[in-house]
Amino acid sequence: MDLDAIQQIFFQECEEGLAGMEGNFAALRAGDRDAETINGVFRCVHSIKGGAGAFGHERLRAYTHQYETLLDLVRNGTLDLTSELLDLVMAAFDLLADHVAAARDGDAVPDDATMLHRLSAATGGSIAATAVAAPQEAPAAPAAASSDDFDDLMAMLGEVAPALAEATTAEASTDDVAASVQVAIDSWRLTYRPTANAFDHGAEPLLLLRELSLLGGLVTSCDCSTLPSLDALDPEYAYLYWEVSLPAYVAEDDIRAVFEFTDACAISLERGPIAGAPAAAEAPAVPDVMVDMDALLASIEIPTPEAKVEPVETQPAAAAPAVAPVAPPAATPSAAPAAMPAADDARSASKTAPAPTAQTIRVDLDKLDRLVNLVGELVITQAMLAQRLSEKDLGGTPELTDLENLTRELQESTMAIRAQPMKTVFSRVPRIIRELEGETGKRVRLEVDGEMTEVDKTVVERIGEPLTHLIRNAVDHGLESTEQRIAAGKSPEGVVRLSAAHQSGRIVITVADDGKGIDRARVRAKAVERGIMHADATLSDEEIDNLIFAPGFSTAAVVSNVSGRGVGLDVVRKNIQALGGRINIQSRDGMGSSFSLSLPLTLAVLDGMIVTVGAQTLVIPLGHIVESLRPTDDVLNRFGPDGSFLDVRGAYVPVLAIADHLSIVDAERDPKKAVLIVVDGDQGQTALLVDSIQDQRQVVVKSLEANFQALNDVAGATILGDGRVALIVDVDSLTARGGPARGAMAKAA
Amino acid sequence: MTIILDAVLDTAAAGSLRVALRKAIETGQPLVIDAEHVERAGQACLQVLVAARSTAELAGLGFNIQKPSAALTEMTRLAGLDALVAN
Repeated sequence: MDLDAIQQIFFQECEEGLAGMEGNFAALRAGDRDAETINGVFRCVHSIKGGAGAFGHERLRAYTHQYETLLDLVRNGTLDLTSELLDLVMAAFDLLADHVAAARDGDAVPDDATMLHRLSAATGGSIAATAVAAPQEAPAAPAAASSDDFDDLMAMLGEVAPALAEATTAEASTDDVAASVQVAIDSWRLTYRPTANAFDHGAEPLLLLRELSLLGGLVTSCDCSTLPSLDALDPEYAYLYWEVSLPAYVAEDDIRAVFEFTDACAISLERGPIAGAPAAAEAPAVPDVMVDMDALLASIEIPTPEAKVEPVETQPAAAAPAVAPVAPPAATPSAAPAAMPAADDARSASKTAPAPTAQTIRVDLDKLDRLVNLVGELVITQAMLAQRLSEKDLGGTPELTDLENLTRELQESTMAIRAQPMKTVFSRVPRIIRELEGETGKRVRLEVDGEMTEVDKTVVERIGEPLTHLIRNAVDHGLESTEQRIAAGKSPEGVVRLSAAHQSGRIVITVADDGKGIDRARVRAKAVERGIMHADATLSDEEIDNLIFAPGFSTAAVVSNVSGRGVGLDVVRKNIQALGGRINIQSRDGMGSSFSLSLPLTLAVLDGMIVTVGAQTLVIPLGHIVESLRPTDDVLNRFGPDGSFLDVRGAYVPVLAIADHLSIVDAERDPKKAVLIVVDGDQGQTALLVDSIQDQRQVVVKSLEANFQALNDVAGATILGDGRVALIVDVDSLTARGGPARGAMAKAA
Repeated sequence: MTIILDAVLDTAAAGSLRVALRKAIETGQPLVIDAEHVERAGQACLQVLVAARSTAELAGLGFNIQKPSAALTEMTRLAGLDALVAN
């Protein structure tokens, strides 16, 4: 697997992680301050940071580092997650998503200067409060740092250590200082020893020191004892090693993660006082600590000529005459016998960690489509085989039952490969809502239901844009301003409900708001003004509502960034129709509007009732069917020459002969001799008139558009066990057109 | 004797830097290292500079890094070798 492929996986994991974070934010926003929720957010940012560093996305890494620093302070309780801080954390998350997208697509890195400024202001204040006693000595630099310059960011973090040193040497004897110094003294102590071949393949050990510095690490000593004289020095061997002190609040995993991608080093990591300092528990007194800080500061210095040159000079003096440049590398391992075993342990531990890349594989979509199609053919062949065997009285063969079960299981598993939860789409919505809140000044609460509803990948990919537009429309047009809501006696916070559910072989996605509803008078006036309808035309409420889908229609008084350009809802409808879907509106004055998108599950299998109409066999999706009955005289009411109603326990349901709509001859037209199947469609209930019911079973949907051409009132086709094609009735479309009875009912009403 | 450091002091540059410094030390004159143009510096070159300084001072020669660029200063700080560029 090449690096690009691995990087693709990294970005996939980023997507998953970001979606997971969105869920955590929803919980946090709802008041759930569970530690694990905050940890979840932290872990995700940390993972992204690790990958960004590994793949060289420096700006993303720098950004996530600053973000992670803030989150760490929240999760360890240093910072209280107030609603203001949560807003900041969520805003930073939005920018993180942009950063990830930019890194993935190779686009320009988003401008994160302001956000980094805000993050560092929130973080820097806290670190300062922890590390130094006097607030005025806290580093002011973080707030002023420019995010464009990565070095500035490092310098900004590096400010903490000098500030600490200043605080300890200053005249201070408060408990705060003792406590703050304690934090620094009782810190991580890391020995980092690059192996002699650490420069191989262009590796640069100092970059790892930079990583540690970003974690708040400070080199307490650089050991040059194995460095030979200039004459004996091999410029391609690494001789230096370091002691690094890191703040106690840094997680061990974070420190070890710095070395995750290199084997060319040995590290030992332990918690406790830095070299020369007393044990943490025994060092409460400030003077003692100050002495140790002096030792610490002295250890940072490179040895003076007297102190430093000696080891450099003495070692080669012994080794140089005999062995020259080969000696130092050989001497390196023996120079640190204590450090090596621990480092080896650490390395082997990191090697045994499960590889995250093993969890998913990428498969070309065409291959999946071929597989799905083949499985569909298998299902049909199996049905044909079953029919043949039943003709020979072998229908009950156990092997046939086993084959049926296996085929169904194989089919479901294959479909599941292509299916994705709507969560993939829904997880982007909270951000859209947040942006809209910012743009419109409205307060919006998002309620999501059915996000785990699975639908074919194609639908998931193509539903995002129409859905985004509907959400924007709901907030911008649907919801009233906060003042208007208060005046209307509503909660100041508007609600947008987003739901997804399976309904008889289709997925229905609903975007509803509790706003003012469609202003039909205004819509009508605008439609007349735009020449979309005649001023004297008589339209039902439903027809007026549907005018908002007319091309070029917009009722926004002011053209805004959000909507109001009049290019929206007609495009939404076209997109939905292109997916084989329909869109419906329900609106109640003052109560809100609801947009329902009904989309097919492409290549889905559906449970259907197999019926006979004339010489044809049809499939009616089971999800639409309420009941089936053979009517008696007392429940049938004639209406006009063609129409009739079925009295279903007091409710009148129009009777519709499928044969009339699909031009099927020789079908039964007398309801009393036929079977009525009561179905639930977009327009309410309808009784479909068929000759007889054959069976009820699962069928494989074959697209008519792909194999033949689209037909009115037909959703697709399937192949029956006897090899014949059966059309699948599009119940919504069929019943929407209603027929004479529904028209008569509408007039009577 | 003045040696002007290259802009890029990566691992590949360490060998030639070492050779140049050795020659300079062999002249027996104090070393002045002009580090104004350094844009990038890695461990390989830093350890050459440290070794050169030790070797020069053992030979009684002055070793002075002048006008260290921000990049070099930053890397010496990271490596805990601040004293290398401190005057």
